[in-house]
Amino acid sequence: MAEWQPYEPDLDQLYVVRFTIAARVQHYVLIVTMTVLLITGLPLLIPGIGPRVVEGGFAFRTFAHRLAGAVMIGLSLFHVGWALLTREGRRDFTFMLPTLQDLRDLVHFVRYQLGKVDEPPPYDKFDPFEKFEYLSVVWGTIVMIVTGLTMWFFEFVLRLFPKWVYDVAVLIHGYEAVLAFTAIILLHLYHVHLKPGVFPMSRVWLDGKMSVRHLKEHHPRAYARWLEEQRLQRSRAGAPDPP
Amino acid sequence: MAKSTVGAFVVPALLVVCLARTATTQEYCSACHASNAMLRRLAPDSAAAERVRVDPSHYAHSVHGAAGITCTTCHRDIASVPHDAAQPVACGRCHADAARDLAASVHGRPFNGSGAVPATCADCHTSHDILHPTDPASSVYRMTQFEICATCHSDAERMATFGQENTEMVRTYLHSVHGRGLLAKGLTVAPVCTDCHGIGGEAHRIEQVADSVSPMNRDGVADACGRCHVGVRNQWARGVHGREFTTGNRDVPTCTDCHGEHAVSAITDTSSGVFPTHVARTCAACHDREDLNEKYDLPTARAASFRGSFHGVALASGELTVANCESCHGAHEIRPSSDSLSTINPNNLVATCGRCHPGIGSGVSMGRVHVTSVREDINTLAWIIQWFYALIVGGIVLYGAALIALDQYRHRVVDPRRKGHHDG
Repeated sequence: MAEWQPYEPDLDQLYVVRFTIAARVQHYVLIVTMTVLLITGLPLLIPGIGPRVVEGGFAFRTFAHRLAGAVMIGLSLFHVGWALLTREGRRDFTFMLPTLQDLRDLVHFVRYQLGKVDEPPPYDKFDPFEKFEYLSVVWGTIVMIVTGLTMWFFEFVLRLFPKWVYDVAVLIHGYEAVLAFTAIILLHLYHVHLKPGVFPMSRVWLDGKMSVRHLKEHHPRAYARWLEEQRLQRSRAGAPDPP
Repeated sequence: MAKSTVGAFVVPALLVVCLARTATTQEYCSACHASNAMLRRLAPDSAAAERVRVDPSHYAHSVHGAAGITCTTCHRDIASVPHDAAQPVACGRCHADAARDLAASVHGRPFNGSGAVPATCADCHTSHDILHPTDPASSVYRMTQFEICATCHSDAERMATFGQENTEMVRTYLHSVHGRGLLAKGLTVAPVCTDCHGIGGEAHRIEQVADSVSPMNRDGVADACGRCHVGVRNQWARGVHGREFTTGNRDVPTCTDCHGEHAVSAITDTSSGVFPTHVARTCAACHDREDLNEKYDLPTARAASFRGSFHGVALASGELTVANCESCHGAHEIRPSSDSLSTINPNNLVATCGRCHPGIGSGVSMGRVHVTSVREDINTLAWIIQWFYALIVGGIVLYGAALIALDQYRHRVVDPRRKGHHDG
């Protein structure tokens, strides 16, 4: 008695919810705040860049930068709460944690690309590249928040630390911004735009859906789990096994 | 004082002497000098006629006419009619002090080049319409004095004959804070030409600024400005600039070096050299000079280090409330950081920075403020951070390139038909 399998043509019709609305909205807020922060921060990294649009423009720049920063801090706190306190947040966060399997998958990936093995690497819900990018964002956000708050509330910081601590914060904030911008642009450009099979853009950030075919081909371990769930549901519902 | 003393003696004396002849003499002269018909007949042209026309009713309102002084009191050479061209009037016969002062001044001395006397009494005071200087209608009344000065000093042709090129100073003055105080605000205390240029404030004792006795000479200009700006002058004298200046050092700035001369503006005026956006440039005019920095062993790149700081960037972006040189170093009483009274002495930094940044911690005094980059202060650490990020950013770029290269390898070498790649 063969176990249930989706029909081949159905693979494109069936989908799984990869990102819930909570995750998607967090992504949108991150896009907006990061864009505002990069634009309003640039005049301090590269003085004299951009036009002096209006009187008081610089004060508005400062205000907008801090507002966006505050929103990003709020987003980060929300994300921590979401990842700790909600079932879906906990589950996705667990999938994001790096494991030894990621190293094996990475080696597998390189061997696959070089034609040494025929089967693609058996990624779970998040592949090593996605985990790397997520953890980069977490790390970068922590660095930017700490150094940003150091500059924002430097009067207080200078009560506890000598001035060079503030100078270091200024330096790191600028470099980390450059790094974040480079990483986001380059890695997104590849993973969700230019990669064969994804071009011109993966739509998963908009509707959160991923076809079961993509799941099966790119996230085999996640597909296996999905298949298990489907079979369990079917047996509970008393559906007949396929012939 | 001198004039009134002279007046007190001379005027009554003349009145006694001349009283009997007053009416008759005046009428006698007026027969020609106030008569259009006679002037037309006697004078060669209208300009000449205007020069000798004297309206007895105007003259009667002048300070001399009102005192009953007759024509021949001044025009002593005229004894009978018809008469030859009148000799220049010697005002000094009565106004001895003024005449002596004028003769000794740049205006009364024959000019070296041509021997011409730059200005006579009448050039400023007029001839027959002379009023007391405190009379608002007087040609030398405070509020309108600049006009009579400008008749020569704004006349490029005339000034050229005395070797002077600058004919913009009256105009410049009128747009200055002093000129606007006079005209726009109507303040009689606003300084007028003679207040600054007259030695001891005496209008008749004016010398060229280059002359060391001129109150506007660089050596003494601080004292001249200090006649009104007493507090500021004293602050300056206590600061490093004033102290050095007093000991004879002329490398340091005095009032006019930062504030300008005739153009002196309020610091809120965008054209002022000490307007927030211009202060750094004004200070850097000396503090970025290599010879001076070397001579006095001063730190270099003050302007560049300021412009690179948050304050400098914000200021350049039009944020006028951020700190400029003056905010931390003071304006007039600038002291070196080694001075315990200096606003930038490490012990005073918390208070100085705290004026804008209340509650700032003492950490601000541990570390350098004026650095062209933080690398100057925290060299090794900054170097590590810089290379750390350079390597990561470079690594990210290589990482992206490697992913693309691996893809290309698979799709062109390993699996040219792109089998199995059709994501949904």
